[in-house]
Amino acid sequence: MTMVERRESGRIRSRRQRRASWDWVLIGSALVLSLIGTLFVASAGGAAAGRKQLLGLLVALLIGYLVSQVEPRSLRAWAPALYLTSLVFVLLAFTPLGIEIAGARAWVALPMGFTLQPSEFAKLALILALASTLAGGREQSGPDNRSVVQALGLAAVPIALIILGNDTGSALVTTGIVAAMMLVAGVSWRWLTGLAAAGAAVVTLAVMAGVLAEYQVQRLLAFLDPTADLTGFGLNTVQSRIAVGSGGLTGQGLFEGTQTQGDFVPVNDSDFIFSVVAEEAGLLGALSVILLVGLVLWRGWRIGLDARDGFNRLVAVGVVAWFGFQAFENIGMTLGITPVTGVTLPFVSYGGSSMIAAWMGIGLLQLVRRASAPQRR
Amino acid sequence: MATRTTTRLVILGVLLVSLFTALALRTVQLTVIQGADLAQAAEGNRTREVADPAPRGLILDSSGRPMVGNSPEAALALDRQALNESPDGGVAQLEVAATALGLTQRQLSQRLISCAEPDAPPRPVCDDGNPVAPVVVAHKAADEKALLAVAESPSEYPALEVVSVVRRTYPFDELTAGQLLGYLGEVSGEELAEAAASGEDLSSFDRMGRGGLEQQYDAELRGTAGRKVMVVDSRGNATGVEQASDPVPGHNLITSVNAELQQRVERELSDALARAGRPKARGAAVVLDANEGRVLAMSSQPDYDPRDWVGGISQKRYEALSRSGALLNYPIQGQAPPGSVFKPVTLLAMADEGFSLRRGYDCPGSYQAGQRSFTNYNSEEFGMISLRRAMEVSCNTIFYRAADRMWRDGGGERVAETEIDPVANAAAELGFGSPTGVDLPAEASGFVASPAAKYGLWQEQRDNWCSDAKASLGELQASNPARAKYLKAIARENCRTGNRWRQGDAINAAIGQGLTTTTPIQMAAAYATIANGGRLVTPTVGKAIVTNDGDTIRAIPAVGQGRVKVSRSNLRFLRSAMTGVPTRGTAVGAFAGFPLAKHPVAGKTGSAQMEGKQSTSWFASFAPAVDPKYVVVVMITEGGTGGENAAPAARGIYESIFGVDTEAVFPKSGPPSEIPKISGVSR
Repeated sequence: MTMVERRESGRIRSRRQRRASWDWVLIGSALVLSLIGTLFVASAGGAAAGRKQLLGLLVALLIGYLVSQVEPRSLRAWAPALYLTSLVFVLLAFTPLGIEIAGARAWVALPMGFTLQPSEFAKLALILALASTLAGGREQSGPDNRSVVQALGLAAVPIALIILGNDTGSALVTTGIVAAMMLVAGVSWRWLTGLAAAGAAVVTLAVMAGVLAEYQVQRLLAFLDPTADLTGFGLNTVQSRIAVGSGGLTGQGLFEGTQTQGDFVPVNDSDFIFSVVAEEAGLLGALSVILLVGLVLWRGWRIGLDARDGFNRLVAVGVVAWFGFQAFENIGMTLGITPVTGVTLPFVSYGGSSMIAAWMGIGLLQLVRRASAPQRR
Repeated sequence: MATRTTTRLVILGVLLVSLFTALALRTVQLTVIQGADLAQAAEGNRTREVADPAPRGLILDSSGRPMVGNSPEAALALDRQALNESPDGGVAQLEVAATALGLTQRQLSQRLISCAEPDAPPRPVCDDGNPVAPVVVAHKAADEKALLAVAESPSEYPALEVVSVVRRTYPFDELTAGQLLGYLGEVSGEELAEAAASGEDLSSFDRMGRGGLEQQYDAELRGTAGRKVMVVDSRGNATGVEQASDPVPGHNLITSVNAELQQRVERELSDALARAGRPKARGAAVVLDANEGRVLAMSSQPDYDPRDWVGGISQKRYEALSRSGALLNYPIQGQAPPGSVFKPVTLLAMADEGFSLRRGYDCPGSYQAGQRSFTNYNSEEFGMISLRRAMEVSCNTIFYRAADRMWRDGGGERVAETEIDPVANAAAELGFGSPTGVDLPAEASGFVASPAAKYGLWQEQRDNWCSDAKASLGELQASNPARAKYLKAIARENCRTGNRWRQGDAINAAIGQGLTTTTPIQMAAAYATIANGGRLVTPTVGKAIVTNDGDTIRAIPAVGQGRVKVSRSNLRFLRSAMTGVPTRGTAVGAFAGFPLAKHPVAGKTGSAQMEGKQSTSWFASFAPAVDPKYVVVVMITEGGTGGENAAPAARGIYESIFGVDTEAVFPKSGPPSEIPKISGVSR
C-alpha cells in the first residue's frame, strides 16, 4: 500500500479527507483474503501456481487502483461501450480463440499462453450498464416500465451467451446480480414477483423440454444426494465435504491436508479452494474466510447506503451482490448445500481473470465511496 | 435517505447475512459435528491396505525333498464394484484382464460370479470369497508383460490391480498324489467371517488348503500375510508405504512319505485299474510303517493332478474330475465290504470263543444254514484242513460254520438288540467301525455289522424301507418286473424284520460280507497291529513341522493307542498262517518269481462280492513276515479277485520297497525314523 499512499500524498488533501476517502477495512479484508488465497493455491496447486497467483494479485491491485481513480461521471458515459466490448469478448469464447474447460466455453486464449474468462468482466460491464439504465427512476416509484424492460434486455444477452457457453454458475450469479440491482433500484414488487415467477416457469420448461442436457440437470442436483453418483459430480461434493470435515478445529496444517495433497478434491485450487482452507486451516480458517468476505460485503453495502447518487449506489449494490452471491454459491457447493457449478471464490480462487475482476470491483466500490466522501461530515 | 431505497437495501443486507450465516453454520456442522466421521473417511481415501502374501510352507518327503514347492506368480485382483462403475460396465478392462491372464473373456467372467448368485457356475469356478472384495485370478498362461502394462497405468485400469500370489509347484514330475497333497483354493466369505470373529489373521488374498495335507496342516503351512498400508492419491498411485507388517512365512511339513515309493504305488495302482478294465473301477493303496503306523505312501486312483488347480481350474476340467471319481480319497473314504481280508478278525473271535487254532476243520464246498446255502469260491472242496491252510486257500465254509455256532450260542434271533457279537467285538478291537484318526480330512468310519449295529441301522432306515415297499417302481416295474418285485420284497422284509440279527447276517459278517464295510486305511492299521504284535497304531502322514532353517517347531508323534486285548500267540499264529498265502495260497500267482525266501511277505486276498458287479479286489499284507516293517493294502473296486488284481499291485510295491527290480527305497533297517535336516531348501 505504500505505493498507493505515496501517489496519494502528491495530491493536496487533508489527512482526514484522505482517511475518509480510502476504506481500509474493505481494502484490508480483500487483501488478506487475496493473500490467504495465494497461500492455499500454492498448497493445492503447487509453488508455481502460488507465484502466478501472486503476480495476478499485483496486476489486480494496480488495475483496481486505476479503476478507483476514474471519475464517476465518465464511468457512466463509458458504460455502453464497456458493455458492448464485454459482449464481444464473451462471443470470442465461441470462436476458435475460445477454450473449453470442464465443458464450459468460457475462456479466451490470449497471447503468451494467458487465458481470459470474459464472463468475469462481463459481470462488471453489466453492472455498469444496468446501474446506468435503472438509476433514472424517481425515488418513490422506482424506474419506469421502459427502463425495466431495457434493463431486462441488457441482462438477457450476456446471460444467454453464458448459458450457451455452458457456464451455469456464472449465469446464476449474473441473474442474482440483476435481481439485487432491480430490488435496490426500487423496481415495483409486481415486476419483481412477476419476473421471479416467469424465471421459474422458464427454467421448468427448459428442463422439461430437454433444453438442458440430462447431465447438466444431474450435475445441478448432485449435491442433494451426492452418493447417488459417486463417479461423477457427486464425487466432488462428497470428497469436498470429507476435506472440510477432516479439518477439525484448527486444520491439518498448511500443505498437510491429505485430501488436498492427494488430489482427492477436484479443481481444489480454483473452484474448491475453500475445501483446502477448511482442511488445512480448520474451522477457524474457514470461518475467517467467511468473516472476511462478510466484512467486504458489509463495507460495500455501507458504501451503497452512503451513496448520494442512484447510479453510484447501484454500482455498489451490483458489486456487493456479485461478491455475495458468487461467494455463497462457491462456498455452498464446497459444503454441499448448493449445486456444483464452476464459479470461483472471489479473491481466493486461483485465476488471474477472477482476481483482476474482483479487484476492479473493489476499485468501483472505492470510486463510489470517494464520490460520496465530500458530502460526508 | 429515501426510505424506499433504504428498505430495499436492508432486504438485500438481511438476505446476504442469512446466506453467510448458513455457510458458517454448515461449516461448523461439517467440522465439529460430522468431523470425526469425515476425518475417518479421509483416512480411508488416503490409504489402501495391501496384503503382502506369506510364502506357504513346503510339503516334503521323508528325506526332505519337496513334493510341493512354491514360486511367486503375478495375478490380477479384479474389483467388481469398480468394474461396474466404469462407463462401459468394465468391458474394456475385462478384455485387457482376460488377455493378460490368457483366459477367454467368458472364463474370466465366470470366475467373477459370486457363488452366492443363483446362476453361478459350480465351485470352485465361482468366486467363494467376500462378494465385495476383489477377486484374485491367476493363470498359468498369464502374460507377464501384459500384466506389467496394467500395473503401470492404474488410472487407466481402476478395477485391476496386479498382485503377487504364490503358485504351488510340484517338483516330482511323475508324482501326482493329488488326494494326499490336496490343493489350494480361495478363502470363502464364511471363512473370512469366522477368522475375523476368532481374531485369526486371514485375508481374501490368502489361499487355503483344500483337501489332503494342504487342508489338514493349513494353519501351519499358510503363515500370516503381511500388511502394507499404501498411501495413495486420488488416481490410486502409490505415493509411499506408511506402515508394514512383514509376512510371516508358513512352516514346512515333513511327511513320512517317500517320494519314490509314492510314485511306484501310483503306477502300480493305475496299472491295476487298467488291468481291471472297468470304467467305474476305483483303487486305493496304502503303505504303512508296521511299527509306528507312519504312512509311507498312499494313493487314490483315478486321482486328480494338483497342478490342475494351480491358477484356477476350469469348469470343464472340474466336471470331468468329478465324473471320474477323482474327487474322492478312496484310501480313507472308500468304504467297501472287505471280504476275506477280514478273516483274521473272525479267526481272532473264534479263538476267543474257544475254537482251537491247532486242530483240523472240515472245509466242504458249501454250508447249509436253514434254507440258504453258503458256498466257497467256485464251491471248491478242501476236506479236513488246518486253519492255517484255510487262510491260505481262503476257505469260507469253516468260517460259516463257526459263525453259525457263535450265532446260536449268542441266542440266535432272540439276541438282545444291544448285543455286540464276538466277531464285531474283535473288529472293533482292531479299530474297524470308527475312523483311524489319520491326519487327513474327511475320513470315513466304515461299518461293523452286529445285532446292535443292525438294529441301529433299522431305526434309521425303517421309514425309507417301509415307504419303498409300498412305492411304485415306475419304469423298472415296466422294463423288468421280476427285478422290481425282488427289490420290493427286500424293502418289505427290511421294513418288517430289518431289526433282527439273522443267521445269514452272522454268517456273511464272518467273511467280511453283508453290512460290514471298511476303508483301506482301517485295514492297513489293523494289519499293522497284527504285524507288530498287538500295538494299535494311528496312521500319520505328517512327521514334523519345521522352519525354513530346519528348526523343528513340533514333531508329530506317531500316536499309539495301547495294545489290543488279543494274545501274542494268536497274533503270531495269524502272521505265520498268512505267510503261506503268497507261497502256496491264493496269491501264489501274483508272487510267482518274487524272492519270498529273502523277503517273505504275509498277506490275505479278498474278493468281496457285490451284487450285480465284479467283486472288490483286496490284498492286505505285511513284510517281512517275521518282524514286519511294512504294511501294504491294495483295494480295487470292480477289480475281480484279490489274487488277480490287488495282489500283483502289492507285489510291485514290495519290489520297490525291497529293491527287487530297482534300487530299494528304504535301507535294510527300515523306513527312516529321524527328521531330515532341510536347511537350505529353496522355496
